[in-house]
Amino acid sequence: MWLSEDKRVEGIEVFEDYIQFIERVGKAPPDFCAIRLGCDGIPGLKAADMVRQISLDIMIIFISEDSEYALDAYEVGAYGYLLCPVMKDKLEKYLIMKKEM
Amino acid sequence: MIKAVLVDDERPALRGLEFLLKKYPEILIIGMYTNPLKAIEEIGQLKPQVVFLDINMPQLRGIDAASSILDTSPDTDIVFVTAFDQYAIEAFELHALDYILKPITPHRLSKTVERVMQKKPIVQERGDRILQIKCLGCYKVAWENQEPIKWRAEKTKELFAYLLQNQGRDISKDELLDKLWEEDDPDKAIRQLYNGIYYIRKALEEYGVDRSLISISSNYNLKLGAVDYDVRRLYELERSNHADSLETLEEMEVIYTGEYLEGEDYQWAYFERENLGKLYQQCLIKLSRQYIEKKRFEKAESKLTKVYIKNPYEEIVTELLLKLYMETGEKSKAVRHFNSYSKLIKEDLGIKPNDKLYELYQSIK
Repeated sequence: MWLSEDKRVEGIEVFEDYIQFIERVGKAPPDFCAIRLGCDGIPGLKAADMVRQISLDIMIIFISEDSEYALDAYEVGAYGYLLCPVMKDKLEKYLIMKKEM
Repeated sequence: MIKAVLVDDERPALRGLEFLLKKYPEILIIGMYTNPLKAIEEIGQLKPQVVFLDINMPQLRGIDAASSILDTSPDTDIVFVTAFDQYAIEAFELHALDYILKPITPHRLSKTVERVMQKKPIVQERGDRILQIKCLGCYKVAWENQEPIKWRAEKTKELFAYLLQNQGRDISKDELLDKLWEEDDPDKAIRQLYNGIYYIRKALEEYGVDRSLISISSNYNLKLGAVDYDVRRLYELERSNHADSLETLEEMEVIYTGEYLEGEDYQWAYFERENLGKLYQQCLIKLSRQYIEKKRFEKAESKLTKVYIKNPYEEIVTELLLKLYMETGEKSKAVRHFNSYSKLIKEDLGIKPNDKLYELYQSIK
């Protein structure tokens, strides 16, 4: 919701399925994507790895309840890792950075 | 060249990391510290592009050390190297570039180095002027959009090119004399060598190139800093993990604007010229494969024709061309190409096209 209200964001899509998500990223790479890591973070990490293979210019951040995947997040080259509850200003910071790149 | 500083309160660990990083010619270690306070103080002046930092130090927490480093040198990237994983979230908050767990594996470290390389080098010296060294197509050293360096003599120019080709390596005096002054009287040759080095240093200084960009040690070891050197860039792209991606290949094609040290008659450069030429041909072949896959046939044809002109004996080129004409339905072109290829290899090499090509040709005809 925050993102769709943000003027910096043009077009936002939400996926519940990793495969659909990757297909979409492959067709038209976005600038930014936020991936939610649940109790089993592996599928989300794998998805991120695939996104990296599609393009290195896509900024990936993870959103998770716990910190146990932070190291893996670094390994796949994520730009950020936000713990729930996500603070709006922290999320915005990434958007600003992406804009400046 | 990426300037790096290593900080670890344990000396053996510091040496270990140094050893691992030495394998990357693009990384230049400009400082190693076991005392983090001293490191923080000096990083402000050194302004390295990256600091490898061990987080488990008794004096202060690594995270705090990192934020002090970012205060004094905001453009520096931090890579945490640590035996503990609990700081990774905080590291993300500091926007640390990477976080690697000890023991470091070469594979994991290579990812880190790749990430460091992806970031554009900080060129803060002398505004944003970029020093370009071109050896492909023509040979010149110049600030962007400016008149290139004028070398005092042809031999000076050749000597610089030789040092450049062997950058990062100690070269013996004998080797230089042997390669560059083969036929000359030894005394005269030595004098010319000493003068040559002197003139190169002087020319660089007068042209405003400082030692952080190009330095030459007493062992004739030339080191390059953050300069835009086409050959180095080409090799970097070739060795990168996405060397076969369309973007990388297209960039490589653009960089190769001509033969290595084209127009210069340096005996010692032939091998490298040959090598880079082959690398370029391979790049064009890979590109054309990708273009064929993407059905961009005109582009593929033009790349293949380019390789064919340079190296008509390469069978794969003819194979790809025939396949391409088959896809586009240009039978006459296929026939013409096959005939000229057959004639050429018969005349030059006395052989016939291999069975695979022949069958391919038959299937088109």
